[in-house]
Amino acid sequence: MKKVLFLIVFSLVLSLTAGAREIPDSLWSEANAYYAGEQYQDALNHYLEIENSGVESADLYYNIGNTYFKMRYMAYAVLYYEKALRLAPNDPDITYNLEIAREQCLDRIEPVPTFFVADWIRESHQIMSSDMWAIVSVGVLLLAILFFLLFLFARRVRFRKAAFILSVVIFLFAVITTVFAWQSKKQATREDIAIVLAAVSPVKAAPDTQGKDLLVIHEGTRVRVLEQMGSWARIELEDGRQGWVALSEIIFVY
Amino acid sequence: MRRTLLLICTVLSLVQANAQDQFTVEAPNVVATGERFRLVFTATNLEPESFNPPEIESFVVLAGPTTSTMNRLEYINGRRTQSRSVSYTYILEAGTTGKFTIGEASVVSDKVTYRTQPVIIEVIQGTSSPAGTVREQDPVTGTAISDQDVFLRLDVSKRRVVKGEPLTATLKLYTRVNVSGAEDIRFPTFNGFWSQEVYAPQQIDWQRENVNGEIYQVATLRRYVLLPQQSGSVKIDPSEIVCVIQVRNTRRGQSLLDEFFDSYQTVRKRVIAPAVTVNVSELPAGAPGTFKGAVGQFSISAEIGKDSVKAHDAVSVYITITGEGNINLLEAPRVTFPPDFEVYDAKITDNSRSTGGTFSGSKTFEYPVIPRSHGDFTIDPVEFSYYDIQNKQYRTIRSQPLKLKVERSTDLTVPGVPYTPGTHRRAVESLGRDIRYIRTAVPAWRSKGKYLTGSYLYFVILALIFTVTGIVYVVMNKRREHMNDVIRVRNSKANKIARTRLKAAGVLLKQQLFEAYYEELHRALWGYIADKLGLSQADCSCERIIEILQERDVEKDLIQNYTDLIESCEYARYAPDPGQLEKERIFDTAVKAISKMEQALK
Repeated sequence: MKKVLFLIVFSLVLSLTAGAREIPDSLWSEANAYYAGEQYQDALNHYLEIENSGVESADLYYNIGNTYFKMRYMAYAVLYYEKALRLAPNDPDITYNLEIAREQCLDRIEPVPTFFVADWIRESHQIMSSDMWAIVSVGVLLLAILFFLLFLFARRVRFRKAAFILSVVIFLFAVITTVFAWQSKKQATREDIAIVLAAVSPVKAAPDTQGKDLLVIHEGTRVRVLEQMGSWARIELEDGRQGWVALSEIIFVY
Repeated sequence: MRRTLLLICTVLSLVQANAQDQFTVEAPNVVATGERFRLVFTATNLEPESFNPPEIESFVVLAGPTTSTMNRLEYINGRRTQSRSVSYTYILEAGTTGKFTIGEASVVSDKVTYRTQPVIIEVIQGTSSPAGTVREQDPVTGTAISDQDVFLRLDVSKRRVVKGEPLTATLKLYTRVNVSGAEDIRFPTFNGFWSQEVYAPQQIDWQRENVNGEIYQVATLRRYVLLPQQSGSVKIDPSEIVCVIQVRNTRRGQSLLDEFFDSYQTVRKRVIAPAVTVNVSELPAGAPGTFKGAVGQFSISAEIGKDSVKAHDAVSVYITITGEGNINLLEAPRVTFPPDFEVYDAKITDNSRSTGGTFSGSKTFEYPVIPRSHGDFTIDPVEFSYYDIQNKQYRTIRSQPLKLKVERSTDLTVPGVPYTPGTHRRAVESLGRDIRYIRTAVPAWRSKGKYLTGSYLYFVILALIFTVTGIVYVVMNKRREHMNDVIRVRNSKANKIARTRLKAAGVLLKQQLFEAYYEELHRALWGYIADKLGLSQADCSCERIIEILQERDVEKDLIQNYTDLIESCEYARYAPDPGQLEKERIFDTAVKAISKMEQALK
């Protein structure tokens, strides 16, 4: 019985990780060698080939971002750092490089200040990736159940009291981490974040080329897409200003 | 235009040669047909033994060569200089028009032969003026002096230049009349150019020049080298001069005397050189990053004062740029020193001169540096870019890299600063900012867009956990129930077993088997409490029993009594016989304790 269960779990774990691993690994080292030799175009082609083979990792996106940065394509650099951050939130290298890439971009947008508790919660999501949260939540849940069983079956009253309190507290943690895992996944798979790709992109008052220009944003700026209509997207800047831009001028992070 | 320039050049070279050469020739460069002129060969500070006359074919020799000797003694600031010159003079007359060359003449002095350069004399068609005189030497009659008689011209060597390309501008006064002086001179201003006067004579030196078939007396007033600083058509503002001209009075006098002596009148005439426009084109696009406006032809070299110094000792790095072009305007090239070098402002030594309409020479930038730490350092090659006018392209040249060995300073102190530990410490400076390097370790690949949270695996794991928990619960519950049954059975039988054992102990007491009696009594007490509390043999200890009994709120005295009893049984087995009465008393207490306990644990 236990063996069967173990096999099922093992095969499921395998199915989640990539199947063909040898090809990306050799491409990976070749791409890194090209990067080291400052042949950025070749490095980029290799990295993108890995990406197109259907696997991903924060490191891959980070390296692609670096390559684009070296080739002075700031919008793409920002895009890939954002992608990398989604897989590895709070990674110091990615955060640092993203900041530098942002400095190279023209637009400086002051984000609307948010309530600090919301910030804390968001920041606590970002301690780990969604997968890590999921693993932690399962582990914590197991621990909670273990203590609960201990509470149920322990003989000594003192043991049982302690086990009960612990199991309740740990169960609370399990709930929190599960919520974080789901929240973190939701953040990582957000489909409404986009980066401006066009060097200069006018933001219009209406989804129409004749629309009045409200603002002009530049390559590398992060926007939130509120809705789409035909070939137009209604976007919101981090400072809350809104307008319409052509869909062809932005690229979605997810 | 070009011819005039050529002439200027030859004349210039002659003027220059005069100061140095010891055997020279002097002749006008333009003459009119029928004009008589002098051709003079002068040997300065020589003792000519023989004069080898030149070949004069195209001119009629009217007289000569006539030899004359001149001695000169000069005291300048107490210094006495003596010079002696011998000159050979010809009087020639020009016959036909054209350009003619008078070949070289030579003299032998001290067995050395000195030669003159050949002279080119241009003969043009003479005007109506009588032979032997030239018209411009005649004062013009009447006060009407036309613009043809005297004019000012600013010649620029190039009309189309690129920004930074040197060009010369020459201000010349042309006249056919007798100009005796000039006043109120306004020299041109060169807005949009960097300008330098390269020729500004103290005395006006008149030369002859052929202008459209007319012989003019020409004076070069100023010559400038210009470096255009802005692009577009740049206008050089007109310059002007007021000439004082001697004019012969034409008015017939009353007396005979008036007619006999010419009377002169001075006339002032303002002449203006027309404005000149120079087309300055912008340098082509694609300038390298190190380009700072240098135009011309340059080379670069780098040098270091000393190959090895001690830390905190100063050393100079020299960057020398040699070549021609706008060298005097060159900016100091950027030198990248190793990070721990203290660099001071460059000292610039400009050794450039203006030659032939451009600047040439060298410019040296001296960078005083103080290395602050020891080690072997390499100063990277200095890059210098310039625009090559001839090939119309940018060029980047590099100096050789410099090596500097900095030895450990022998004394710990920085010169001038007393040493105290810790004063050398300083904050680590940030020199540049760049992105962090790529990750090279092979990462853990994951399928794109697949997350554990919400995946099948996630739910399966959760389901598994709960199922296993359920199974464990059921199993454990069953086991507990079973155990409870066992305990209940033991509990219910505890009294009976204890009584049986007590009875057996009573028998043993009667049989006087004391050791066995105590053992049986001990077993009865032990077994009873273990069965009653559901403890296994392994769990059973005095402390554990006390703990459980306390938890079940049994009276302290009773617990004490009971455990004392167990202890005394244990003890009595190995102790000497306490006597029959004592044994019976223990038996009674045991029976009482068990029955009390039976009540307490109900």
